[in-house]
Amino acid sequence: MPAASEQSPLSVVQTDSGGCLVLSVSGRVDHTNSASFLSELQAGTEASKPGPGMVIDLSQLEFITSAGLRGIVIANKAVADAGGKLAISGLKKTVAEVFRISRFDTLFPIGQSVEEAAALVTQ
Amino acid sequence: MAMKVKFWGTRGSIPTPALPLTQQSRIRSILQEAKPEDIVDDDAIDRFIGEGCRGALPTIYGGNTACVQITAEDGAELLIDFGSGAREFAGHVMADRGPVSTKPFNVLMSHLHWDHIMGFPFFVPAYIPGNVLNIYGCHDGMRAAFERQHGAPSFPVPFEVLGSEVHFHKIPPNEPFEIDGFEVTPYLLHHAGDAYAYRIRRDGADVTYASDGEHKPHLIGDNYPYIDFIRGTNLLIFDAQYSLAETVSVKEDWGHSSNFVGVELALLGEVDHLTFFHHEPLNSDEKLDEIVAEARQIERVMRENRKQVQITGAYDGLEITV
Repeated sequence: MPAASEQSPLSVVQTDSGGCLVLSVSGRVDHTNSASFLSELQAGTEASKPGPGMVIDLSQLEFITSAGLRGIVIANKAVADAGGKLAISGLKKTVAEVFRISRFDTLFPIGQSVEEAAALVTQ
Repeated sequence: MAMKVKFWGTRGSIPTPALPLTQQSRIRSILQEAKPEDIVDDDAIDRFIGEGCRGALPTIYGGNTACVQITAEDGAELLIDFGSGAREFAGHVMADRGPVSTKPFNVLMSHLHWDHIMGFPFFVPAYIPGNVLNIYGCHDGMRAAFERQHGAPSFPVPFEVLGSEVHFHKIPPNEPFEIDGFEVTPYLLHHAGDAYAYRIRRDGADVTYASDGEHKPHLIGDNYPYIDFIRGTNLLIFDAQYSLAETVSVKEDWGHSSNFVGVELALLGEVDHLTFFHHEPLNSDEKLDEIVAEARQIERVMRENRKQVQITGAYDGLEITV
């Protein structure tokens, strides 16, 4: 966990997979940049309307803390309120452990790839 | 040793006795692991048990609700919360010191929810003339809460007939307060009806009791005031009743926290030892062991250049020296 003066690297890029908005997250989400992550998620949920929903691809994510995970819950609610679905894709080993230990793997559909997660959203 | 911490009750919400099926399963596991040489005589049996029955058993966490005893080197003592573990504590004290204690019982109350006061009607020293109980807390209405459960229709004996002297003392939050040589600082936690953590300092060591508190993930960071409250504490007794997923979804605002957030806070606060407390009644001993193991795993990943935090799960009867 870095000190407050340093901000962990974070990048969120919007793309499309078969008509489904994809947010590709790389870097690390922790208490130093979780507010930025939340803003990116909000922008993504707005951009996903009207549509089937959104995939958050975490295949390039190194680590995520509770504040980042909470952001995904908020995004999920916004997408669901608009009638869509949210799915997660590409959990690397460490992030998969975070999802398992936090029990976030019980909250969201998770696909191995972006395409698989997009299919979970659009089906 | 500066202080000894003994856990008399570690379960959250409601007492959780082990069911007969659980006991049968345990006996089966032990028998499956035992070799002939393990049971050849009493000494061998004692060794087998003492070494954990070759790993046949999980940690036995127990089922009493919150009650923790803190003892200083000079014998000064604080009790925290009157959960059902207080009944066990009372039995131990009376066997050790006789029915009338020469020193008062000084008790800190985190809050007045039922699981934290339910042991009081069974706290036998309260019935015996000559005993003195000083009950400290930050809530208004402490006496009323104790009286309400101690009389008809909830209990056959009215509060008024207690033979001991019972004094209630309201103390202010965020200010150090001295009780029998202990410096006690209360801190408000997010919990329905409020709960208070206590940082307790004595002889250069300190323990922080922080049960029944929820921490919103988006608030956690170097500037979260709670981090300063726990910073550098030797032992943080932490409510990890739920999973993180539960605390941000179906159980948001239920006023409890998770192992995951406990690790985050302990790392930021440079805590020496984090012990989980207020265990979920639905969780088996095996599940609680898993929660501790997973917390150690996430601590290793999350730590980076911060100080390592020792992580354990508190169980009824556990003693920790700080």
